[in-house]
Amino acid sequence: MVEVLALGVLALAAASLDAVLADGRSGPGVRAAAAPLREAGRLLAQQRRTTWRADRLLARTGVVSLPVAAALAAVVVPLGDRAAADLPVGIVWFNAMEVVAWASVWLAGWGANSAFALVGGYRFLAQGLAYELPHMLALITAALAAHSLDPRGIAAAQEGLWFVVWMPVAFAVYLLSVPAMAFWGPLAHPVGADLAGGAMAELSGPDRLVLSAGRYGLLTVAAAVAVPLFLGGGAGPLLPAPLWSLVKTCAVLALLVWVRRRVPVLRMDRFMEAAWTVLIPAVLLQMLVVGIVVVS
Amino acid sequence: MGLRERLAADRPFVVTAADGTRDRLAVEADLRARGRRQALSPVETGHLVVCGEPGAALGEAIETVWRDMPEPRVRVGRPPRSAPPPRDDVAMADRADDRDGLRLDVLHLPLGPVLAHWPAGLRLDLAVQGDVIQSAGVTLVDTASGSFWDEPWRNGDGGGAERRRAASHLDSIARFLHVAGWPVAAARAAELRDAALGGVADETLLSRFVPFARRVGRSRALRWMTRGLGVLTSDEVERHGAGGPALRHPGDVKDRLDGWLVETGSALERAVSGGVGGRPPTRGRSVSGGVGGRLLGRGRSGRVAGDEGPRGRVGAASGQALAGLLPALVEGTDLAAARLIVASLDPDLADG
Repeated sequence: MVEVLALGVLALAAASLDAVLADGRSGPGVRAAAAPLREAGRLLAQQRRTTWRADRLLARTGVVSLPVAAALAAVVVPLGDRAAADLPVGIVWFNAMEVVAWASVWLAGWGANSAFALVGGYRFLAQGLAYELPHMLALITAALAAHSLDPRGIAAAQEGLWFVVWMPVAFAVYLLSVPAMAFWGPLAHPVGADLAGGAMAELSGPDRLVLSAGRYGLLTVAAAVAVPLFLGGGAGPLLPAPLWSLVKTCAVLALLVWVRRRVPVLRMDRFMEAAWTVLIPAVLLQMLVVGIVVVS
Repeated sequence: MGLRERLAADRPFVVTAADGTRDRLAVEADLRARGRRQALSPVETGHLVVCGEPGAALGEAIETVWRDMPEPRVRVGRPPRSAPPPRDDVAMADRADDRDGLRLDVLHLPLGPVLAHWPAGLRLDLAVQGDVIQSAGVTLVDTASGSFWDEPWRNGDGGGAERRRAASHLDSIARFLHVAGWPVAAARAAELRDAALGGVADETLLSRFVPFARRVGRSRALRWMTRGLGVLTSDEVERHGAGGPALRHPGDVKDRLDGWLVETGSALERAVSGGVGGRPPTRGRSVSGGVGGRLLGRGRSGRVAGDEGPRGRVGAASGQALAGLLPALVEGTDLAAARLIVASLDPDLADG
């Protein structure tokens, strides 16, 4: 379980880095790093409010299931060549857990009995439709090249040549789907500022804390999975393998946080068309190329 | 104040009355200095900050919000004039055909007047199916006479007029960028706005603004997300009796955003050259009353020569007229587009 804990610490680090960079250059950097902890303290001390005629069971289920899904996804993420759970179909498991997140956001949005939260839930379903197919094709491309659905096996298959080098399209599509599944940064429209926080609009106190923690957990896990899939897993000079996995995960997270600063929110009513007419064909072509290479 | 209250004050929910611009700017500057963010929704926090003096109708809306905020609660601002009786807000749903002829629930949903990154005092009453707006009505919940942004023109103080003009547009740009989901750029716009209102030298201000304008104006993603929304012709703007940048920059949401960027740039250039350089904001053809003729900015004498303020002719209630344009623009769009359209016009209801 060390692996899961390490990813939890990374999630907090990602939230800190985001806080440092989110406030622009004028923000007091060092103090901003503690912002996630302050915010956690604030939310823990806050009263829990529910809306009128809310479906509490559904809303709570949605809120709690998000960090649970992130933690369950983390058990198959290898650091070096060791994962918390010994699962030969880790990629399938990871994919299943991320679909749990769809249910989480939808239930949290629907359960609140509030128009803004409901629309936020709708938006996440649309987002899922847009990103999931290209994302799954990218996962399958890496699995196909390695003849394995186990992240450790996929990492081991990259001896000498990382997959990112000869499947750049699949890697780019995967990278895009990381913030999409965590509805974060440029893909945070389901919790957008234009809906007063969308699916999170009615969450107060501990509920808000739990869902936010789940979001960063999911973001971190998804970023960590990019390492065995495309970046050679724990391969690297000098440092031990688990450490290389962590360093590469941090690099992916830092890249995402940097991109977040430069791009406004992408709305699915505009993005959907590009996702289906550009991304799916592109990643299919990538898969074809990989398939030909593997067969020959 | 205990620790709980202090932590609650970390992330205030800010509500602005029509006459609360000056207060709001002070609050925002203070938050930025402490590296704090504003809450997007009132349940996020127990800390309510009311800027300006809300009228009775807005006061009632604020009361409703205050009652629903979680403990520990702190309230800053002027107390409301009267506490209205509590009442349950129940959204009534009925059914109607949607655009595909399906029977769908119709929900009556107000946008504003208490909503983050939303023009002070404005309310849109929407009938929505899913997130598509079937019909809309507009209410000016809170108005004021004499906008903060028009002060140099009303007081005949030419010294800070062009910088105030730039700050006014930057304020609109900041709000727009928040709605467009680009908080980092929004924060930068707010910083530049406060620099324009503060003591930063004209040249420094201009040199800081140029890269910001380039980044926002050239953002492909932003263009992609805003293209074709809320198309408005100059004639429509004029017919409603509105003026200002929306009149000079016809087109869609992106055109209006670019219009603000251009006008901010030329206002800052005029500030640098003391009213000589830079093209004053005019349209190609002369409009009724000749906007160009009124737009001399400040002369060397330090007196304001024109009466074309940042958001239209001073005293012409242009913002209130712009609000009248909104229902027709948002009908048939979804909530996300409607928010962008409103933010791209940013009606100031304090100019009555």
